[in-house]
Amino acid sequence: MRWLKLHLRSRRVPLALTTATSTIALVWALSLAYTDSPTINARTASVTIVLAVIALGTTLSGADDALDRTASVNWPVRRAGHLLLGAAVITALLLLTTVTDASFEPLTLVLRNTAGLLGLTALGAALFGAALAWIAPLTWTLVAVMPFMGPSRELKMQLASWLIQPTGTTAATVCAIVLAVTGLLAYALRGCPLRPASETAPDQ
Amino acid sequence: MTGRFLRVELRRSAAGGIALLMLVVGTAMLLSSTQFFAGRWMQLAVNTRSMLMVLLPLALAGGAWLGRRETRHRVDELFASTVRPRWHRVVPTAGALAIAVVTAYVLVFLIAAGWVVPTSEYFPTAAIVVTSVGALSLVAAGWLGMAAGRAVPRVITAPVLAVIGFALVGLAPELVMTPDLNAEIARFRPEPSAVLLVPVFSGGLDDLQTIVTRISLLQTLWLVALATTGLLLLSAVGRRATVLAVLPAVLGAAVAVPLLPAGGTRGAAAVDPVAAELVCDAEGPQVCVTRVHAGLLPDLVGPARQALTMMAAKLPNAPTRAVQSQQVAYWAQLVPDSAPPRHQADTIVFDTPTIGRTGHAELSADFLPSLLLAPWEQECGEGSDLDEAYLAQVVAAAWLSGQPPTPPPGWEPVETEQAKTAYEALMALPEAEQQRRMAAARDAAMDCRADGLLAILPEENS
Repeated sequence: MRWLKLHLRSRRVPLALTTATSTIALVWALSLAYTDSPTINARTASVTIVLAVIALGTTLSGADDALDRTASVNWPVRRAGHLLLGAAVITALLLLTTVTDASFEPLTLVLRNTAGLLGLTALGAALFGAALAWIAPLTWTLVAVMPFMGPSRELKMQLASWLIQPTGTTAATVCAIVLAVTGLLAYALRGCPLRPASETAPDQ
Repeated sequence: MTGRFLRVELRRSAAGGIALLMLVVGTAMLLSSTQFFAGRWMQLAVNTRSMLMVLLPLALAGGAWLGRRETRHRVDELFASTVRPRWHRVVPTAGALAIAVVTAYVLVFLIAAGWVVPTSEYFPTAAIVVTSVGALSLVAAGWLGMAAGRAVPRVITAPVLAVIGFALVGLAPELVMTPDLNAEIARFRPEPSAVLLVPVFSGGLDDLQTIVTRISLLQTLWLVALATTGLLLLSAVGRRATVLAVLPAVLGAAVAVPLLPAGGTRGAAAVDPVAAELVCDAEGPQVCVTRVHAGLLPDLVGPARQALTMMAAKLPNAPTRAVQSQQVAYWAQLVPDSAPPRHQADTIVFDTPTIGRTGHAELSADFLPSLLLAPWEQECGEGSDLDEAYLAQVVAAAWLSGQPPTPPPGWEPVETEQAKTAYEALMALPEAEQQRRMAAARDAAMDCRADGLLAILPEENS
């Protein structure tokens, strides 16, 4: 238990969790106050999820990569566990709202978007480091939620705005699964690239 | 000295990466639908401006990332202890970011211009002004982002700022425009003039329109003020400097908002008289298009002359020239024109055909049939569109082509049946009588007398 606590603290998980929780709570409170609809729409949900995912994405590397690697633990399992736990936490936080009058629904959309975006973040972390991992999910989300994007039969459109396609759109689901699996594998097997010592200030 | 710092910043800071990201995203989005601007410079400028919906949030996020650099590398205290004033240190970084975002925006414009140059024959200078305002807005966003990144140096600052920026430039104008559902008839609310402080053009522009230069200048004034605020915030040391830094933006808004017109994009647009001038092909019956669509003329001459020939064969006093409509589309007018100018009886007026992805006309199968309706069409202003009038026009066009009317998509079976009956009743008449009736109906239509046009329908319909 103590090791887990130390691991989580070395990844600044408390700060990330606070950020993610407060983002979700803020959006939920705003929706409760300003809309009559019981379901938070796919655009707002995607933006909320991406912010929560980005917050957790900062925990994908420690303060000192080189030092981390000297520890003889099973890193692939630990990293995969970290990612899966993160996905579980975000989904759980989002689903907590289903008992209220403004909820993130449906479950399949929440799961698909969380998995896809977290996979994309993990992929970014494996390629460019945790500090830059937010760029790809953020850009894709901004493109997807633009006002003229919407449910479409065109494959191009379905992929570009997979986040806001209705659940059951095969292309969107496949896109999310591919992102999730690639991200999970890349991050679990490879981890973040080693940064030069001068850049190893903790990312907050 | 500053020049050298600037070069180092350009080479080694994140500015290059930010520009590259913006370039890729902007180009991909713009080129995914080239039919909206192909062959038209003003539309290219306006469509590039609407790409700001994504580019502005990215500039904000990029600025925040760059502004957080010193804290991230734990050198902020070291730098704060140097004797140089803070703005000496800030200006090269801010300059590098500005150069990077402007370059990205201009490159997006130039790459997309590859779809405009081949078919365009009209270049309005206002397109350059509109593009410059867009580039300037990115500088303002980048510098504000840097100031925010410096104030709150966390990873989450950049994405949160991007989301807030997106909500401001992408969603806020839509929200103020949403129809008022409580009103008896859902109407678009008149957009407040402050909507024009957002440099994104979400409303769109008709091909014949241009953005008034005075509005672009006001937007420039506001954006320069905003950029100044960003730069001052970035180099501010102490509370008083921070408060003073906000002043330019407040002043800029205070000056610009009262001078901006109400109505958002539609209020900022005006007909470009040069773009609306007619360019004609006189080798044979005259066919004219507006200057902005001059590239479409070769595609249109064939079907237009074919329609004129068909009319000349059957109709007495047949029209001799075909002219593209010079009316601005209804959705683009701030105050709908209730009494548009009527056209001469020797002219048929056709709407702009769909423009394809390469800037050439996409003449669908119903372009020629729509031309055959034109001899019985006149701009009669508001309240003149009768369903029966359209029915009569369809019958008249069928008479011209000598074939029973083919129902346009979306017609009820009853209407199709009415059109067929009317056509058969008409064909049962002697030929001279047919011609007399059609000519009379045409005279009535040109004078906006709907009754006269309806006279070609059998009694039970009219």
